[in-house]
Amino acid sequence: MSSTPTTTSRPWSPGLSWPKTALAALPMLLLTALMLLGGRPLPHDPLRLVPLLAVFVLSNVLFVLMLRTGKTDRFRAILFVTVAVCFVLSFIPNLLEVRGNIGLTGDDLVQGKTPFCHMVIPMTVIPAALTRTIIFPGSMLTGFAAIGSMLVLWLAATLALGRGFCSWGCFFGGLEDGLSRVRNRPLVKAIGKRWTYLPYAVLGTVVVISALTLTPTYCEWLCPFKSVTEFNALTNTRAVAQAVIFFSLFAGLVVVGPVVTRKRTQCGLFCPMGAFQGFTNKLNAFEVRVDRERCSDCGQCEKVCPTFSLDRESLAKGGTRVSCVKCGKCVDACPKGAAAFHIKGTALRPQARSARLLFLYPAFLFLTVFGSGMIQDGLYRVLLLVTTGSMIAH
Amino acid sequence: MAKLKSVLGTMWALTALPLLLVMFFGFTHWPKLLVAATGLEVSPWFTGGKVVASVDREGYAIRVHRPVFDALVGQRAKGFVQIDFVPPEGGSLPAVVEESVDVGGNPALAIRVRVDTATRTATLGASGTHVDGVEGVYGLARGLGVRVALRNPA
Repeated sequence: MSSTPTTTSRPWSPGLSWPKTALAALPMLLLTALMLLGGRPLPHDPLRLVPLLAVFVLSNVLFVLMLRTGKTDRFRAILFVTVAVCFVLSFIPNLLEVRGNIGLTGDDLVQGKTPFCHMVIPMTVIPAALTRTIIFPGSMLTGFAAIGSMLVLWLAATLALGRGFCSWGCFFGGLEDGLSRVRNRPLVKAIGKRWTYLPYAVLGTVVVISALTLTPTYCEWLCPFKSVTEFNALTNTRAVAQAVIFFSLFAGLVVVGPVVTRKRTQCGLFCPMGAFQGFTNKLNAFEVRVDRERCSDCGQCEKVCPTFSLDRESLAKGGTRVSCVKCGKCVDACPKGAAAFHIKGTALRPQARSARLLFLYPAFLFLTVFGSGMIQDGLYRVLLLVTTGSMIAH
Repeated sequence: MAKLKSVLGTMWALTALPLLLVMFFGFTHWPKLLVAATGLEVSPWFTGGKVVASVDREGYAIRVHRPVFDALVGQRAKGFVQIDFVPPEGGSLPAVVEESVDVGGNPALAIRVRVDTATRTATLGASGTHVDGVEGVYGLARGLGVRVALRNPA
């Protein structure tokens, strides 16, 4: 690959030369150093120090490679998947330490000890607007994953990235993203377009039922990720039924679906948060566009898109559907360099490189800083397991 | 017009990074501001609602929450009231506590409750006409909370 890509008949690449890469990577290096340390001295405990340094080095190496090669998704995915895996490794031991169990009891619900996650947000909107209450058994400001903190993180990420949150922030999405890369070829190649509207149906249903019952319906009955976080203690038939649903959906949509289709099936075919987040793409400055003059209609972008966000219709219009998660997979895969990150309102081609950079800085910083706590704690748990035989700190 | 759109788009894109930096650097501040500005709180269906009466007894205290009938709009026909039994700091609750609780001065919601703190069970004595039964006994950070199911007298 040329180190200084130019606009010739060769495929356009957003990669930078080494000097420009070094210059462009420097702000990220400083920002991540500042944010990961947060004004604190380096920890003395090697079990804490090693994960901190690992996150710092990993994230900056990946960012440099992103800049230099011009490939986005390839390196984003490494960090994104790492965040998701470490989230699971961190979350359950944390609950065991804080609460003593992973099964949610009535005591936990009444005491507001349930960590809040972004998946609840669409269900909270109508009750919050009409009753000024959040229909979730968590804490507004105190404890692990307090509601106020998660709302602020989501709000800022949404304004900055739109549905890019789903590829640069969602700590569940990486599980599917990773599993969708296990096979080289999909076993199931075609999924009817009508199925891609299912998330909107799920969104509408859970929003209405949640508003009427004032309970987070999706969390209670449909969230596949309860399988790797927490769910009601199995003390009655209802809780058992809920657990069966959670594990079935997890197996189908998060494990089997991505493996056989090479798509993020939960995100693209079921997730109501994803559907909700899609609307925020309309408010966001960044999008992925396809230059019709360069496009050869090879269909490669449509084939690799993990969330069914590209089809003939959208390509004819030179863009993606509203469900685009801005992962950059189509941009990486396009043999003609026709797909590119774009800033709304600007010309398509001349600004493509700067548009990509303007998107990458906030997106990558969010993924690194938001995910760093999870990666650090996940790695810490692994080191703890290796050195003490337990993932729980005593 | 195209130029204006381009400038506005670029300006909007340029704000993304500073927005996240401001969010991260002020992260201890923004959640508090958000909660204070919106007045949002956790639904009383989970917290039990605000404590409206407090009575100190020898060896423990009772905190009576407001009855919860909240609906999305208006009130529901069925709800509950939470009564907390709180031991003194560092102490524990008596093995059995029995109390008559006045809920909002409404005789239809008057509750006579007996709590076995060791087994964490509660039974109702002669209570008001709109008292349906014990919904559950829950461990609190300090003490026990008893939720009693009610029918809305309104």
